[in-house]
Amino acid sequence: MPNERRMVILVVEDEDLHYELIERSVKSLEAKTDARYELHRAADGAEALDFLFRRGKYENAPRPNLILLDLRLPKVSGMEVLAEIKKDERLRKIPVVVLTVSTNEEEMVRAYDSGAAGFLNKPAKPEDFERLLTTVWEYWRIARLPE
Amino acid sequence: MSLAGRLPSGILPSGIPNMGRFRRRARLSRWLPAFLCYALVAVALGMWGRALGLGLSFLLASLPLIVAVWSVGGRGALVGVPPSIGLILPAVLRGPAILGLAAALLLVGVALVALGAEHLWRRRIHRSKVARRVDLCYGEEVFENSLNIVHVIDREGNVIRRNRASRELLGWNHKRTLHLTEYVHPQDIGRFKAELELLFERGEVRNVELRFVSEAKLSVPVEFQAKRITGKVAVLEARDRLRLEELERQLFEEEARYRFLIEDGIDTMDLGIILVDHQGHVLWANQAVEKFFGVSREDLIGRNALSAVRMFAHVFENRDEFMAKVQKAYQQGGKVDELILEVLPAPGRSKRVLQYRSVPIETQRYRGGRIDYFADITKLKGLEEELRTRNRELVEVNAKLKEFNTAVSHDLRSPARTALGFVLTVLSHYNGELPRQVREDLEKVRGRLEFMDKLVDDLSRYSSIRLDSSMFDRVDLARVVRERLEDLGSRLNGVTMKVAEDLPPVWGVPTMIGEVFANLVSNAVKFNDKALPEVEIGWKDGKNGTYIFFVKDNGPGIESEWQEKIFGLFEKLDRNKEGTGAGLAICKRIVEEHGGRMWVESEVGKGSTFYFTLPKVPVKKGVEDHAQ
Repeated sequence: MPNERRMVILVVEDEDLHYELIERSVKSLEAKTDARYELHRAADGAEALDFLFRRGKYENAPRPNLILLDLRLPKVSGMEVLAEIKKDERLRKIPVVVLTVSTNEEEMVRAYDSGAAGFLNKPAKPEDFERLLTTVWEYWRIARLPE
Repeated sequence: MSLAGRLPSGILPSGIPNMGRFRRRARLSRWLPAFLCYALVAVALGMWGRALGLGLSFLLASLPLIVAVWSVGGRGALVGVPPSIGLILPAVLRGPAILGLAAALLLVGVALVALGAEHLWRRRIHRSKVARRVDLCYGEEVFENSLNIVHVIDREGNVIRRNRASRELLGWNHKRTLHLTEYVHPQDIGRFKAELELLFERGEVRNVELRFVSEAKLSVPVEFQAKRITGKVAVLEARDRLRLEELERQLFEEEARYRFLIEDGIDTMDLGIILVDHQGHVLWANQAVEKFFGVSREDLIGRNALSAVRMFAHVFENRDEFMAKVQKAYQQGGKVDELILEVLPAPGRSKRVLQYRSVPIETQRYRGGRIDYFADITKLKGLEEELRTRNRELVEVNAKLKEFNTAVSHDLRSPARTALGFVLTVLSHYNGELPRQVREDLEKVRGRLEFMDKLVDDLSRYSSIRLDSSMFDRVDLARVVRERLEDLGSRLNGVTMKVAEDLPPVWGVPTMIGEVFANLVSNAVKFNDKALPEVEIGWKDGKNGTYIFFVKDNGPGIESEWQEKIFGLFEKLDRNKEGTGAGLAICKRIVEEHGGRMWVESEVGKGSTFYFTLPKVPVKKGVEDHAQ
């Protein structure tokens, strides 16, 4: 039963190393707990939108349960992607956690105003990141129980 | 210019004392003895010729008496008439029998007539005396107070009497008389004597100009006129020419000033001026007009203004607009305000930008005319252009700076943070498997990476503090400080905090100002070396509409040579203390962006007080810098 379904996470991150860190944290979490994740990566904003709106090669992309969104992205910026997500009726319920290297308060406030569910400094300490994923996993698991 | 016409009314010629009354008195005094003799003769005749002769002679005697008394005293003298009649009647009726009585009555009558006559005589003399004194007195006043020098002179030219003006202008205050040589300029004595001769010969001289001298031997140029009074005496009235000359000089200066203003000022200024009279003709144009438009003003002056303007309108790039406006203004008597004209370059004139104004004249005398101004604003336009370029450059520089700032805060940070991420991952995932030394080394790597991250963060924060007054708001300082102190939380444990209860509101960005207080308080605690740390926040009134705030501690204090340096970016007095050393630099920057300044006063061993000023009311940045 626990292995039955995986929580789909879309990581919108242009830096390979950062993505690698996230990947490793997820793996380490899977090794320690019964949570199962399905990671997808979009390397820029445009790709993220293609994935979310199932365009082009992402025609059959799954609907993610969590989006980790870097704000500084090539092509389409993270804030724009966030705005698009919040405009869409089906997508707006997906929690978006914003990742950023800056501690700029202004940026943070703008992100929350635009509907971000959380804010993580990247790279986050593995403990912090793992705690976040665990929390979301628990919520998601409880939310889908009645199904 | 004739001086005589300007002389104030003086004593001459009408001021000479009127002699008429004296002449009448002289006539009367000649009359009286004659008619008394006549009366005696008449009485003697009467006594000799008996009764009829007596009556006749009385009649003869009394008639002249009556006439005489009448002529002297008017009706009052008639007191002598009834006794005379009283004499005549009994003499006629009774004949010689009552001769004695008649004679007695005659004597009484004569006495009465004489008495009445004398009374009237005295009254007459008294009256004329008074009149004479009034006359004299009046003449004296005029004489004494005349603004001109008045001298009564003899035939030799020596002064017999002189007035106040003479004393004031010539001196010799205590002398009533002056010798010729004392008041006439030595070089003019010859001429003066010639004039004297003329004066006593002809009776008067006028408009003679020569020089007097004062007691102090100063030359006093005068113009005088004189009138002979008697064969030996004349009155001379002289006017001080210095005062006149001063007036003339002033007038000349005034004229010169206007001439200068017109010829050297208005004519050569960088403002073209065309004056148009009320008939619409060009009255005058200055040199600048010639220079600007390459026309000769001789051609413009006298011409109909519109056709004159047409003569040079072709030099403007926007000539049609110009002519339309001018025509409208000229015909309707309206104004043209600040029309910008561009003069096209050509041989004889250079490229210019002019600002044109045309104003109708409203002052009474020239009403109906107008003045056209052409102000040369070429340089101004150039400066404006330059300013605009500079501004553009500044905006570019600012944008680049912002870009740089972003690059620093993100791009410089990102690799460090990635490295930190891996270190953290290793430490977290392989914690138990790592040898102790590797673990410790990785912890050090982590510490330095985190420090670098903080440095970059502070650097980017420092360089991004750029405020302008539009971001300012009223700051409830008491609340902001309270909140910040709460944020510091456990860091204030054991510290005696003293905060002024009446912190006044200021103008600024609340979060920024809060940060200044938080930073200073946190420093005061962090570096405090006393067992009982004390921190005090207070304020006082400052200059130029500011408050001075201070954060005072009882810490180790700062040596004076370091007091400036600690405000530098990343300056640290103690390398081993945590923190990047950017805190004070950021505080100072924030305060300066609010138009204030920051400084420290400190005594080693006793503590430091950090002061900073903040505006009471919104100000533009840098205002206080200028005031300092």
